[in-house]
Amino acid sequence: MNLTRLLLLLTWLLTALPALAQHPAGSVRGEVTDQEGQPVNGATITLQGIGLHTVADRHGRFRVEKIAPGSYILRITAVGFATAEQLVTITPGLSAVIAIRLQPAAYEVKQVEVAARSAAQAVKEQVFAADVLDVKQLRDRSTDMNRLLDAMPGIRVRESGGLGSSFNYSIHGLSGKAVRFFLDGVPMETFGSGFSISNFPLNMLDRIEVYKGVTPAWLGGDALGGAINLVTRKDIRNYIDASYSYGSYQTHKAAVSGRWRQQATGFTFQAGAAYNYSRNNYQVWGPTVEIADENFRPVPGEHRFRRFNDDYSSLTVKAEAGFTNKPWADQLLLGVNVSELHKGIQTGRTMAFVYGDVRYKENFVMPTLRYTKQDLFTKGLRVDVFASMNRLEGTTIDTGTRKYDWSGKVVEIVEGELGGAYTQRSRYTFTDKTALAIANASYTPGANQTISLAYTLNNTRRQGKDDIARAQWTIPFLEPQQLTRHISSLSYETRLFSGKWTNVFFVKNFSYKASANIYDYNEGAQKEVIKIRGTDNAWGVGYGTKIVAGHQMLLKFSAENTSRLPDAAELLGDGNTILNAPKLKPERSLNFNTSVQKTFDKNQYRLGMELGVFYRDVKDLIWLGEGTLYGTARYENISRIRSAGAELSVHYSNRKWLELSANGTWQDIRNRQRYMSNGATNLMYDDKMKNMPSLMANAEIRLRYPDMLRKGEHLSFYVNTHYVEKYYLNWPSMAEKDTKMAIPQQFVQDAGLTYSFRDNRCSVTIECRNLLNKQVYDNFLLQKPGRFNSIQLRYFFHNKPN
Amino acid sequence: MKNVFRKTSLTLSAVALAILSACTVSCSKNNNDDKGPETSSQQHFTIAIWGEGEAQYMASVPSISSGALTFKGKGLEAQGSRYIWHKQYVYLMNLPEKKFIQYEMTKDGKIRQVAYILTNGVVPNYFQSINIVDDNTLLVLGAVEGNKGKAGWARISLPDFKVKDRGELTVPYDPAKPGVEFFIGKGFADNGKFILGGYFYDNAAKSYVADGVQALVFDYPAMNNMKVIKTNATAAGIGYDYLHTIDKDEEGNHYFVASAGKFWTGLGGKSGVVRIKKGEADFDQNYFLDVTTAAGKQACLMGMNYVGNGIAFGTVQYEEMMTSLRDRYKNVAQVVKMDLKNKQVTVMNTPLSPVGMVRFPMVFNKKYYTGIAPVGSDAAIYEFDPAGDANAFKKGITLDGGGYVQVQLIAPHPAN
Repeated sequence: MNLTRLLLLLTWLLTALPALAQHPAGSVRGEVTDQEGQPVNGATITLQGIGLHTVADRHGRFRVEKIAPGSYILRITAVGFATAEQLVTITPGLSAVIAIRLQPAAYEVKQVEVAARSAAQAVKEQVFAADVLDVKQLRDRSTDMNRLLDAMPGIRVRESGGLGSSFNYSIHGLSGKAVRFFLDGVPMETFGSGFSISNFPLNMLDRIEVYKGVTPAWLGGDALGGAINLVTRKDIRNYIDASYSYGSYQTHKAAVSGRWRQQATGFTFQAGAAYNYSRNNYQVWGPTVEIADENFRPVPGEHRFRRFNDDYSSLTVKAEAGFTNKPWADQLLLGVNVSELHKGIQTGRTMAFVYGDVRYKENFVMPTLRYTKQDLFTKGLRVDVFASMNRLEGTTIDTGTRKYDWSGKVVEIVEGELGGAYTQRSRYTFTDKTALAIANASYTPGANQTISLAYTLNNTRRQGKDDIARAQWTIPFLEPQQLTRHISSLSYETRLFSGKWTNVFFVKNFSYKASANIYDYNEGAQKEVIKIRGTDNAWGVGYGTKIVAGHQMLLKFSAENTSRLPDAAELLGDGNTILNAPKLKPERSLNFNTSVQKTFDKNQYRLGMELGVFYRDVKDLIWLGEGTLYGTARYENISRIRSAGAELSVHYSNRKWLELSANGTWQDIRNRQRYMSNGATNLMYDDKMKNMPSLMANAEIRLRYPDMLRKGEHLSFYVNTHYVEKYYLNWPSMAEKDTKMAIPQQFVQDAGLTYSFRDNRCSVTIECRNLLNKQVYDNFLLQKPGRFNSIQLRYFFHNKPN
Repeated sequence: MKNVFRKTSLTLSAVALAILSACTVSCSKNNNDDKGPETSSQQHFTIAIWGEGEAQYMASVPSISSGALTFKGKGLEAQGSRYIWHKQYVYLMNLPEKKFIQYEMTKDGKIRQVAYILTNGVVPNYFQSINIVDDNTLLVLGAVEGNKGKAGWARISLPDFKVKDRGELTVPYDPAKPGVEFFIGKGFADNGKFILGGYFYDNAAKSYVADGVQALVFDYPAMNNMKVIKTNATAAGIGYDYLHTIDKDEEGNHYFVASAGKFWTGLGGKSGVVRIKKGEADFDQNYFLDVTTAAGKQACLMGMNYVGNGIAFGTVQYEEMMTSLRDRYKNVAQVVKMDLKNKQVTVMNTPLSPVGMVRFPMVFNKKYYTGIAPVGSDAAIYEFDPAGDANAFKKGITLDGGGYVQVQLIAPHPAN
């Protein structure tokens, strides 16, 4: 029986079960709020004695059905709140209605944090393999987003350098564009690098949701490896949150975000802005960081040099204005996202390529429109519509005539520095114009089922120009290219046995139409521009389930057989070092995830554990190939990859002052391509995947000393460590181990100390990343920064909700 | 309370860090694979191959006449874009790390890196053309695309491996035809001259330009006073830079591969061998070995190695079987035997393969060796006997990963 048939059978069985399970009884429903009347998302409601329980939704509402008549103690628990108990009497055929107002737990100081924890917990308890980074707890830190996510189980973030450098996410071994990024559910892949996840200021975010493998249909993306959804703040109060940090390598980061809502009209203005600057002049040393003597032999000894063309600055602004919480709209917001970026390009594919004058600049503007409404036309119908047009312009300036060594000395007069073997001066500009439309609708006819539809249209047109020359690498980018993608999904969720058993079924359709150029041989002796047009269509189906097995234990399973279409950067190139690859085939994957979560609570101690196992069978993996001899690379298909692994995370807290967390991920990713494209036996069959680690681990200790000097003044401290096993650039089985090009083992520690006062409205944080100033690489011969010290000041102001 | 907090915090922190460190140490334990017993042999050979993607490997074997070589767990990774060997050394241009590396092929069969030169600033771009000009000197040449008549040269002393001098040299450039560019090839030094091959390409017309066969003559060692010499034997480029396209006989006469293929430095005419006699600085106008006519199928001569007694072996690429240059990595090439004295050509009955792309075949003990790796079939080093007929060859050591392996270099280690 194939997977599709199995899923259809399961669908029938599970949709029929609610009807079969009907019997005369009573029920209880109600709403859980905090002291200010705001809903508490994720509160657990348990009927003592019979074990029935459910979880409040994001509106704080809950419903427990099929309860035998009688009197019960209803116990309500939520993180950050004191446990509440209430007597309820169940009458046959009737539904008892209660309202519960929770008191904050004595040790909590801010209800904003409490609400966020509840939302975060709700995400973790979805049927999908999901994790949440609760940003609210981290806003006092100046740590980069990439570093924070890299510490999560199953995720590997690889950066090529310091602030603003290129980066690559991998989830359970699937990397690159297989991992999609979303901002409030809107795909970010056409936002450019100025608005990338690494630049996003923490104080504009509420949380970051990480979906591993199987992703919810409402995200509307073809995220084969996983999805990372940045959820912006939806604070109920008017607020301003401002921070500034200064750190090593002349790094400045300033961010401000805020919200204002006029109660009478519902007019709302919310905005966030961030400015980042760094000279990134950190020291590099070791292999390929060498200077030559008069005979062009390397000068003996270890030489440390500061990077001298790696400065980075970016400004991003996100602003929205409109109306919220009106009878006709939960949100109607017009917005604009703007970013500008300038940076130097210091190195090529390895640090052997030293560039002294190459620059990149980019600007991006995106007007947006968003409308959301719960209970539109009929109760239970929710719609969310988003539309945007954006323009992204990036220019790579390679007009230098000098070639440098690491000491900054000019060693050669050249015509441009990029292009590896074939250099030529160029000033290449690409312009992407993208239209994006998203429509999500869900209908919840009762407490036990939801049906959802999602559709995403994404059209990107790219034009290129070079005012100076036609450097070989820019040639295919000068002609117009276009990519149109449609992604549709339908999902059905059913909640059985008072929410104890939840099932989600979904089907997705992907199609694309591309028109791109390649520079290749075409019945000739020399390369020429060839126009390639392609269309493709693919389907995906999936299923997810979770079972609440007893108190504070959750079992999850999800499976998906789906596809991912190549995106604009993969097909059309990035206008810089990634060439276009218009013949790419869609990537297909069969994903399985299963996990068990268990939490132990005793007094004020809490121990949570999660063990997850995953399996991926990927066909036509889209993979960024090794760099060519010319310093560029392009995406390619690897016909079959199998990935399996497990991750374990443990969290312990003594709620007053101590938190410990640790996680480890082991993944075994293998090449399952038996034959090469030319029919030859593949020597690397069953070899471990090249350029991919197998073992990663993270741990962190957080200590908190509340009311240290006086009430409302707190001291907190953290230290963490991060480990990545050594791995090889090329196929591990080939050649002798000690001659292989490798990415060395990584074992680094960070620490930080925060003093907050005025009831958490002000804070000062000092941090040190890479405490021991170790030589760290994420990529072959591309060294990352050493020790980084910083100090951050933060001010948070809010008033009462209106 | 504060004391309890402090003590407990410190204790827990220390315990946690100790556990983490212990885990890490145990996780990071190196798995040093046991090495097999060392081989003892009278002779070893180094074989370098280009495998899947950009990966390249180099390993030594005790025999090339028999056995099998796998690069699974054997040999070293080498990112070579240009190879050459001389005496007991292999030299390769590693582009990703921008190094020109000297490896020693030791008597015990090992290959070890001895030294390297940082190539930035030595010549423009990279070491595109690498030439042994005498036993103690290696001459490298480089030029950027769009060189406008300028290239760079550098002399590297051997075996101490140092750049001893360098400079700029002039190559043909006509400002009236800015699109036409001279691409440098291989060359040789003789009698106070350095004679350099290459080809012309018209970037505007996107086609090769071949006005007869031309080479450049420089005063050596000054590397100046450029003159163009020409023969009208055919219309072709000569001495392509990364193939073995130049050799000399026992008398010291020099032979250039003249490639006239429309996909390979020419216009689709006759490819063959041209000669410059010992001590002279012009083509032997009376000498041309026509390989295309003899081999048929629009055969384009790609490379050659002189074996002895007037016999050389080379490779031809049949352009009749190609639709674009990309096809050179398909089964379109064969080995040919060339009698340079009697101007006779024998097409060896080897299987069709991309053998035309083998960069550095070997002549050893008066036999010719090259790697034949037909697409989708077994790969092996083949031995060719100059005394025999079209079937005078035999399969030697097989190469694991047939069908994608391209042999880059075969070189002998010094005998014990």
